[in-house]
Amino acid sequence: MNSENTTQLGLEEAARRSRRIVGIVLAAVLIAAGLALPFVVRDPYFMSVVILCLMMGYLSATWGIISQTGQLSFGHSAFVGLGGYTSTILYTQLNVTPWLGILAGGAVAVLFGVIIGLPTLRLRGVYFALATLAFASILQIVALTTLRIGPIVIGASPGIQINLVNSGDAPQVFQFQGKMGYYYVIFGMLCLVLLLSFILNRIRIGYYWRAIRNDEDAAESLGINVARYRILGFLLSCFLTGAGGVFYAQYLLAVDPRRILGLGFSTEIALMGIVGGWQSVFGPVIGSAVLVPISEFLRARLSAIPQMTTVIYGLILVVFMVFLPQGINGLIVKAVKELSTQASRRRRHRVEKTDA
Amino acid sequence: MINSFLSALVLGIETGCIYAVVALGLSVIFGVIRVVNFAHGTILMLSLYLSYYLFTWFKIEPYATALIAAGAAFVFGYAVQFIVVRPIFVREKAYVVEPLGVLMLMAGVDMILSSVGIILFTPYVKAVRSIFSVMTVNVGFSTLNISRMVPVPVAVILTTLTSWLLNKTETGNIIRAVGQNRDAAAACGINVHHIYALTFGIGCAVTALGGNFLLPFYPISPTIGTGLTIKAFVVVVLGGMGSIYGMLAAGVIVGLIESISSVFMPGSFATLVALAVFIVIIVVKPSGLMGRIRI
Repeated sequence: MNSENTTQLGLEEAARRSRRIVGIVLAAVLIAAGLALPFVVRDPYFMSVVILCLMMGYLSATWGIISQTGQLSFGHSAFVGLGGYTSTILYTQLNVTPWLGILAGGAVAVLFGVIIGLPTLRLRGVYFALATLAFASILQIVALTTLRIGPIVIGASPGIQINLVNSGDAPQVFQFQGKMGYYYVIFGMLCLVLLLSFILNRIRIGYYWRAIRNDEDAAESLGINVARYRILGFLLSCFLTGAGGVFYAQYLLAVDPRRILGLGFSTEIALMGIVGGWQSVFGPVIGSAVLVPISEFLRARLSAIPQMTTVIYGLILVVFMVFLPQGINGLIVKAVKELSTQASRRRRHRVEKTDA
Repeated sequence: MINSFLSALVLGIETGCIYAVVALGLSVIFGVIRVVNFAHGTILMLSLYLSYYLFTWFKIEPYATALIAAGAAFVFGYAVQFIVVRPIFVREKAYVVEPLGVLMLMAGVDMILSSVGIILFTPYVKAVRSIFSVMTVNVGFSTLNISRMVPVPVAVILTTLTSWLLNKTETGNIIRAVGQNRDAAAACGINVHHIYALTFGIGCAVTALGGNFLLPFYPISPTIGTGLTIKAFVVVVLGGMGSIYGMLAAGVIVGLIESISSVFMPGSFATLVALAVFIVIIVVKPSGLMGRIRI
């Protein structure tokens, strides 16, 4: 019995080791492929879809950080918008380069995150989700109707445009000619966020988050300060989302309150995360890699009835919530675990045979 | 000044009663199933369109179609709970179902329904011109529209009826039993999933029944649903999730806040004030005015 147990443990250990090696190799290959991609593909439409994939992946990965603590943000577009508006206002009115705007945008998002998150993340259940929803709606109404707050021009419903500098060839103010510059920026941002998320998942705070989302009461009785770790996760998420908003504004050279602060955008971000697998590190990116091309394809095909895209989004959301709550990532994790354990068992078997 | 203030007061109570009715259904559903029905306003929108077409095709007055619309909403709500939401409840064995997953699920249902609404009914605004739409009465400080007054007694009656249904009838006892402890209720031989679906249906029917009185004076479009849902959330949180009479009080308060603040500032900011109240309530007293549910 005992020896059987140790063999089982050994098998799992071996499987884990082989998984780790495969994971490192896979990550290296993906990063290399990502770096080489703009040199291989020159088609601007293809590149714009890829950039959209990366950006939505980035945003839903940052959205995923708060969902890893077992809460759900329903108005994450608010923080995208705060970031985008902050850097754009700083650039157009004070001439501060958007590169610094990334920090400022993130900081403003964190500031509002404190206001919203501090009281609501102490509560259980749906209050946080509803509060974020209300917050995003408030911001959108303000942005749509206010031309200026004191000396700060917000621009009401058309939003704010960013002027092209040197016909787009101005890296010092976050403008690039062609898609390649934007591609590398968002690719780098995405890699950083995934790395950060991956590391956080493997240190103490990640274990706390997992404990909290599995059973809040149990976590609390073990002495974990549930509210504090949730708030930490949320503020981190706010900062990174705000930074993503700066990229969004610079890539489109505009902030449009209808889009960037819209409820639809929030749902889209959440949808990518859920389809890929919310509460996981890589899930949101998988989700955006699957969904963005589908939605682009649908948009082109169904331009006569644009609502069809929303119907299909809704169907996907319902189907995943009902049948696959762990998302695509859950499927992959399960399959990989199964395969690697089987492979280790087979190897062990062979070794035993040759020993005998 | 005093006249416009009085008019705002009346308008606030009238609008507030509509909010109360929408929130009432939401609160019934949340109180028992713990499902935040994100599609609530959109289901009301669909029932309003049903009444609209009954009016334009068969010339049936909206006040008469209220019952038909309520019946349809009941069947629809029952089906949504039984077909779409039930699998999640079956999967989650624990007593408190993960309400966040269901919130997301209902957001998906809302996306589908409102987009299908746009495809079927076109995005343009439609209005019912019933004989009640033009009846007015002069009360000194302003001329009041009769059809706008009707929702006030309707809301009071519906609230009382719902309270009676939940507290005084056998079905109500069963529903509350399931709401208090799902597993214990199941052990007593109650078909929990039937009761859940029943409650969902009742919640939708109550909202459709009361909401139907909007038709003679409120132009409808497929996109009104989400706005109504968010308003109803504000009322539900203010009144206390799961409470019945709290909805009436909170609905009127939200209506008054909106109408009175729109005397002093542009209209779209009135919504903003209501949402700000919502956040303040969540921060200060999340159990609401008359909340029963432990936070």
